Amino acid sequence: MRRREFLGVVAGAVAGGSAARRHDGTVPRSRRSAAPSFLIPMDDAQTDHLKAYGVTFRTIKRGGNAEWLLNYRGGSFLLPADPATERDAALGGVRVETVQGADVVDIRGAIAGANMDAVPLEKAPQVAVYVPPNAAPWDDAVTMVLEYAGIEYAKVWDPDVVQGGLTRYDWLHLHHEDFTGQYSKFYLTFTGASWLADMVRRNQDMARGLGFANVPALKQAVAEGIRAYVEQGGFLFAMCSATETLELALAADGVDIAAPFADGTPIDPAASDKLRWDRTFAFQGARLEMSPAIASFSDIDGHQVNNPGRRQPLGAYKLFAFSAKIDPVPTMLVQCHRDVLADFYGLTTSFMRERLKPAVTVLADEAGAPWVKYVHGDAGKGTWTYFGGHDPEDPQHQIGDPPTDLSLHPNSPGYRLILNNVLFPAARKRELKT
Amino acid sequence: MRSAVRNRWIGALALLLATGSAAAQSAADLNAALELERQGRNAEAVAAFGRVLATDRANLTALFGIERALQVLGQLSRLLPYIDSTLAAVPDQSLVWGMRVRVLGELGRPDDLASTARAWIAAQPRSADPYREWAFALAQQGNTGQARDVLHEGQRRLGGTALMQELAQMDAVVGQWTEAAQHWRAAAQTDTDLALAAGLSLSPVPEADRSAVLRVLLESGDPLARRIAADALVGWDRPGEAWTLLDANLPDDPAAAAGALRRFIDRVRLGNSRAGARVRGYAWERLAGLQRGPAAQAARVEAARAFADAGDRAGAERMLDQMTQDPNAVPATARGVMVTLIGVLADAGRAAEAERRLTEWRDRIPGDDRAALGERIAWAWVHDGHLDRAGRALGSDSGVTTAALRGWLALFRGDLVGAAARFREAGPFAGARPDATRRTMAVVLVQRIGVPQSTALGAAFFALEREDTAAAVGAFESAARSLPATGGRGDVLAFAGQLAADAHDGRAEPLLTAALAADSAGPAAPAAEYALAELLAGAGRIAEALARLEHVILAQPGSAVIPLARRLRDRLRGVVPSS
Repeated sequence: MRRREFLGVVAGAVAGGSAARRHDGTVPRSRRSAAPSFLIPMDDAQTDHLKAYGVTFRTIKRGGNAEWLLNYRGGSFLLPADPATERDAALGGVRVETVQGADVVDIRGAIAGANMDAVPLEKAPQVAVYVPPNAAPWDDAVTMVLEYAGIEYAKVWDPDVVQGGLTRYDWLHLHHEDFTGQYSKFYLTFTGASWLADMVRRNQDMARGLGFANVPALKQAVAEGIRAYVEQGGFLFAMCSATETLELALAADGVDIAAPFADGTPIDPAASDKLRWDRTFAFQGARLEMSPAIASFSDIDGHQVNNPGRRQPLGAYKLFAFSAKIDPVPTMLVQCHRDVLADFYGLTTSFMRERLKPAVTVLADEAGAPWVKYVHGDAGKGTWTYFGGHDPEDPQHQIGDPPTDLSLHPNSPGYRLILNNVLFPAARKRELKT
Repeated sequence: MRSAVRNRWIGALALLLATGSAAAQSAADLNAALELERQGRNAEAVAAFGRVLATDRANLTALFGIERALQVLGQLSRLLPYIDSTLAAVPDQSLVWGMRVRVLGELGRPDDLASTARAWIAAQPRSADPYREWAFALAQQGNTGQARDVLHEGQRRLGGTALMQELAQMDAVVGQWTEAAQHWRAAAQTDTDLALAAGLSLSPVPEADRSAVLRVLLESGDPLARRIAADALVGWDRPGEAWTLLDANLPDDPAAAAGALRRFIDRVRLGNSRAGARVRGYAWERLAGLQRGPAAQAARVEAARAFADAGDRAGAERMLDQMTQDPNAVPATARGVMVTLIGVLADAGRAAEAERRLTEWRDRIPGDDRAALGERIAWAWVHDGHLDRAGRALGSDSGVTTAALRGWLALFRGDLVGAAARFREAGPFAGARPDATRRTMAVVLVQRIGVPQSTALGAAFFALEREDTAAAVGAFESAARSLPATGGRGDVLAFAGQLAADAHDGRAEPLLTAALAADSAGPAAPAAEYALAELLAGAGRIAEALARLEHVILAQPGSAVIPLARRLRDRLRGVVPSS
């Protein structure tokens, strides 16, 4: 199912009544039956919010009919009460409540009369994470939470993207990759560090192997591949510097925006004026950071964590409340048991409002600040979502910090936002055919 | 004529007023520009600073303001005309030359950067500043090789120790450690304060380069270079060698020696090792010898603490003995020192000597301290195997910590009922938290046992108290065999199994398995099964460990160990980091 068909189904369910319906008008089995169901509450009663997504994902994967009860008790899940789910939840420490048919009727009544909705989740998405093949999962918030929740994913990297391998996946995640090909601009600051040398060597080898003149050229081709994936119906979720650098790479169509250490030639002095913002998803009119010694890419990021003169302090961001029955997609993306969350730094922490394109949907922002935190939009037949920052539970993340242990943060509201994105493509009926 | 003179006066006055008015206007413009910058209105701030510079080209405050504002706007290239104008007005001003070099570096214009630096060198041939700023700008662009060349050129031209510090720092950045050591050694000759910076800079030297660096620092025989080597050795976690080197190369001047010792103590304090604590004690002891009166006493107290931290009780006693024998020590200090000394003696297991000193000083030591020392002496007697003398050492004190200790004495004698009563009397908070936890654990175990007296169990707890874990495991196992199946056998076996597991004793697995077989649904079963899973995981038997964990999670969902079990399961499945 394409994204627009999916939205149509959801809208049809809304128009047809309080309970979500299939596209043929029937109600999923779990809700027709008088058999008990499991309600996974996602408010403060939940003991492990993150693993709750995994339990739901595996239920769908086993062919069970699940429903996402948007805005009901923090965005709860309704699952069939089967032994496998019960065991899975018990092992993971996920709180489940057994509800009988009459209870389900009451729940539906509450949903019908409030800003809530029930969305069927029917197909576990094929998840891919763009990451170097030998990378440990512990430096990427999404892989960490996928591992913790037990959601299966595949790793893809440059050859998969360049050779069209993304079509196998419904959902693609990008984290702190630098699509401008400048090694996150750590080249000067961390000269001599073994991890940087390894990153440089690996990328240069890959560029040579795939027939590109240099790493920036390779990464630009990868960015184009990702854009094509989204436009053909893929779901893209990006965090940290991947958001900003993907956009810069797309905008730099034939313009040299890479420092000499990356491609051997100086940055085009007029590069900022030559960028083509008609080629990007989210941003426009940005100015590049021209200094190769400053690990910042442009003025898209509001916080500029590595730019001493411009670094901004962390505040808190607030999730927007959308109409569940009219705007189910943004509503899914902001399901959370908290609506104000502590901010966290990344190479790209936030997005300046003045750099957003008009059609972008802001999902979360910081009140009174000139930046936003979490944005979403459509591109072609697909969607993209950008979430600024590196690790929601490590606000000041530094290179070399110990990895975040999510068993110590099972109720993390920030990580929930990531998992909303993982489950969001499950609210569909047929496999994506791009 | 008079009219002409008067006109000249009027003209001069008008010029003076105009000049004063221009200065006032310039100051007002500058304040307005700074305010605009504070408000973040950088484009307007640039224009306002520009107006100030138009009337006062040498105004450095305005020039620095315009630099900041343009930096924020990402338009640094617009700064160059302002710099050139100011430089024309104040050609000897190093700050402005430095700004030009910096800006050209940031703009990535290496040729202009070089020509500006050359012009600056020509204008100020005896200054190290041009070389330093030029090299820094090159290093910022990643050209560390060229940066070093520039510094070497400057060093050759200026001679002496000029730019040695910068060369050392640049060498360290590129990992040329022997050169860094040579340059630090030279730099510290004219500025001894650099010795500490040198030692810190050389701390990250990789293992493979350390011998060569030490050779450079030691070959000259220069005491200052040797002190730098001592500092580096501290950074390499070799405190013993560091102290030997420093001790042999302290400055002759007592004040300078004291300074070097204090710096060394501060550096060593950062480490947590026993070896570090011991050399800290030596350094404080040496410092005490360089000082007089209260300062010397304070240094000895610190030395005693450091020796105690290092487990060097002889060293601690030596310091404390010196203090008690000091005829000039004030009574309060002497009393405090004696309390410390008796405590050290008791903790060292010298119960008789501690008891003798406490008897001698009993009247001069406050009641609370006396009671506390009595308990420490009592524990010393316990560890020496003399339970009766331990009881006598407690005297008639009725405090909660004394009640707790009496509970332990009852338990060691096998009086389970008496032990439980004394522990209840002590309450849950007596003593330090680990003591309270240990006591609670003992109470819980004793309460599950269905007999009032068990000499075997008392002997097992006594062996445990004396840190003889191997004997304790065997004793607990024997005690368990004598207990009824539903009267605590499973609990005691589980306890023995956990002790054995903590001690990596091979009896752990059979003991824990036996505990679960004896009482698979009892209160100790979840902890026993969790301990068994940990044991299996440690042995690499992951599938068995996971099966145990899943069983305990599903079978005993309300147990306190379940969060731990889930966490271990996550770790074994690789879904959370193992750290």
